[in-house]
Amino acid sequence: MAEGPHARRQVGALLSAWLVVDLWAGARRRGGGGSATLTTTIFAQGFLAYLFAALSWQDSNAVAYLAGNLAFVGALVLLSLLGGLGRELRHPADRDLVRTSPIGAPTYFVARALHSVLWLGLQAVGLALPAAVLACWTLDTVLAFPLFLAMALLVSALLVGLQLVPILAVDRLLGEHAAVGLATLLRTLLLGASFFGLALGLRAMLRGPEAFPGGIDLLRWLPPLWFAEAALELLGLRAGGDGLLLAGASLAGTALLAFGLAVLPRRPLAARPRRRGDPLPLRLARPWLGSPAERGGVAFVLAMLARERSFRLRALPLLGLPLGMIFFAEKDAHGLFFAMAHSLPIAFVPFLLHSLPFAEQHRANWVLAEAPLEPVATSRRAVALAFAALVVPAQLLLLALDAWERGLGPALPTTMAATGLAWLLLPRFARSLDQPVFSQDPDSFRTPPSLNGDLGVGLVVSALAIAAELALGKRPAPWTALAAVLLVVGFLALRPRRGGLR
Amino acid sequence: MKPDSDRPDPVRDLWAELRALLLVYGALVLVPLLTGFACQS
Repeated sequence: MAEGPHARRQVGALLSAWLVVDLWAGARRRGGGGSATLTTTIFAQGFLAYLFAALSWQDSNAVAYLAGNLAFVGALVLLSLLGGLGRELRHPADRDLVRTSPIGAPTYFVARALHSVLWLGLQAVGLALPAAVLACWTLDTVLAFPLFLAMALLVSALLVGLQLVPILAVDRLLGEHAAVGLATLLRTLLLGASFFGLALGLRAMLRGPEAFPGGIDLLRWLPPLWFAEAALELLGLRAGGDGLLLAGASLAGTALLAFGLAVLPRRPLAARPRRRGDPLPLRLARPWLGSPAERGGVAFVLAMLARERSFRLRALPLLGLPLGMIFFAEKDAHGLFFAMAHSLPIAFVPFLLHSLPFAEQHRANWVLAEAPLEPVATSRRAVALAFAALVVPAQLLLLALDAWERGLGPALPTTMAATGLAWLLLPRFARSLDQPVFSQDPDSFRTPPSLNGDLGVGLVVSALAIAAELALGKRPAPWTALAAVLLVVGFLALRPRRGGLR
Repeated sequence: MKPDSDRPDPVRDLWAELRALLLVYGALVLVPLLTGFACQS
């Protein structure tokens, strides 16, 4: 029978097609040339992995070296894969196209599994190479090289599986849109967690597990440590541990859970109930809305901000930074530190505005194009009001953390001053928009030639916040009153003007 | 009509990309290897 070679050819065709899509994703989708990014990514991230391994190489013990480097490689692989994992969710047409072709279910399954292993392997092995080479000296055996590569592949597979399980569960229970949202949120959280984990982890590798918050009791729960212990047990350098057991059980459990969820039927799209009433930010912006046209503009901008994946990816980490700053602040940290954190969200706005005319769903711009209004002016006003509304929950979140760290007394005036300043500045920032919002294809996005102006604005905003904080520290009562006045002036500055948009 | 050599050939590009990746892998092995021997001596 010609079944074997036939199926092999189909698997080969699927694999090469998927790899081409992986390597040249956006660029080839529209038929252009474009360039692949994997090689340059591996080169840059592999060099980072080499630096991390070299830094921790001679000054840490074997378990710490293996666990730390496995965690580093796993986190890098996970972060780079997360963007691609949502692809099937976002382009269901690709999936349906393959399913209608004359390819049998077993062949499709084999091709999918091979592709996942190959794609994961290309990245995990590349990033694990430097640490694997140096591990030969740490463990004093050449066997450490293949073993570290295998463990890096398994850790990456486990981490990818672990983050896939909640996304799959949400996809099957709540629908695809909720799953795409969760994937973005997870990616943001992971990005922030890796940033802090890198700094804290390196310290723990060099000084011992006590240097990690939570100590060895927390580290014992993290998969890279299980795999590091498993590697040592396999080499006979450690006896009586449960690393092998934990590593094997976690891999098997995660795989079972993921496959179990994957075969569940999808929830039909039509079954989702429609939300009633305005979303909260639009209600917050209500006092500033002069006309139904303005209301429509703000509602459009808010809806697009919430739906635009690339914007969430850019904006949420920027909010995570000040939250992290306050959360990890020492109890006796200076007030200036908190003033900086409160002013960061507004200092970032000029950078965010550059990307605002570009959207994956840019065709939705007909909403603005059909409106009987001048699109750029409408966009500027709508963006200013939408961001002004979004500043409120962001600053309330910062206020809650700030008040928890140093009490409501100093936290409240800092928040009021930052919010007032944001409201005053937003309409001025929005003037830099020279195209209607969400109207351009993201492929035509070019990084602005110079960001000096934006950096200057950010510095001025931070300087103003620091000056206000210094004044608050010296004479609290009058400056608290002044912060309240700033808040009121900022609020009034956003009110609709006579002769403005109608 | 364009000559055949000008048309994008995804499979040829794929192999070229994988060869470039192999070179990068080589560099990522060589640099730590040199570091290891240098530090040992």
